[in-house]
Amino acid sequence: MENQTLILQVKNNFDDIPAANEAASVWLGDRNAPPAIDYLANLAIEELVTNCIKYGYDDAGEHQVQITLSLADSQMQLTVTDDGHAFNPLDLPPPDTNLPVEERPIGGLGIHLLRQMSDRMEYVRIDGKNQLTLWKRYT
Amino acid sequence: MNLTLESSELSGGTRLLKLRGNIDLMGVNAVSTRFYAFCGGEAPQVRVDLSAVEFVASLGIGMLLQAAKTVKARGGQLQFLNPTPAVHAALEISGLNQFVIQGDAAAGTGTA
Repeated sequence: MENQTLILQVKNNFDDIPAANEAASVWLGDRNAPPAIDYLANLAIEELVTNCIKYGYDDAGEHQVQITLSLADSQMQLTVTDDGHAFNPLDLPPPDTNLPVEERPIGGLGIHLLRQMSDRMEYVRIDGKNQLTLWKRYT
Repeated sequence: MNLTLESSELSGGTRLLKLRGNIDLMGVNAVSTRFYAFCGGEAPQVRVDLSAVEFVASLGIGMLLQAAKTVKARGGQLQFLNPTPAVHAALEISGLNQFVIQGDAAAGTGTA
């Protein structure tokens, strides 16, 4: 399959996330990507852009978060690039999901979900920006 | 898809909560206050029908986990009924599979 790429620019505003998810879903649907790929793309956009907005910036100014989504050879690649603080979420320890419910903290599950649903994730800091990429194969 | 919450009461006092749509940031903001209110009282019996939920993000998992903690602390029981396969997978990854049952929403029991 020919490499196809969608690039979305999202402001650091929670209200922009649904439109980005909708655009990604339409693009994936037009290319007959399976539902599990659509789900993962939406989850990645929701979790990663939310984290950028919540924790990435000290100032209240406008920033752009870029989402690059591509399909090639039955594999999805999704990259989120932001100019927030240097932060590698893959350094976070996984949550202990075996704890009794009364001892479970709320939160910390977003990256865990993405790691479990993806084939691979990778973080780089490049040109003063965070770049987090995940890959998922499908049939 | 915007998240909606419908509630009803089954025989025996079990509260049936039907969520419909996406449990994402917007969804949690829209329904969480009402959702938590159904988890209060003494020994609440709460059944959350997830058969019409197409997507759950970590904030949504957090809402469901908070409900489970609240109900347990009050000596009650909470169940997640008939999740779609993708939502079931997210619950399993999050360690909440113990609350999942399959069955008739109106029936007294389901199967884990």
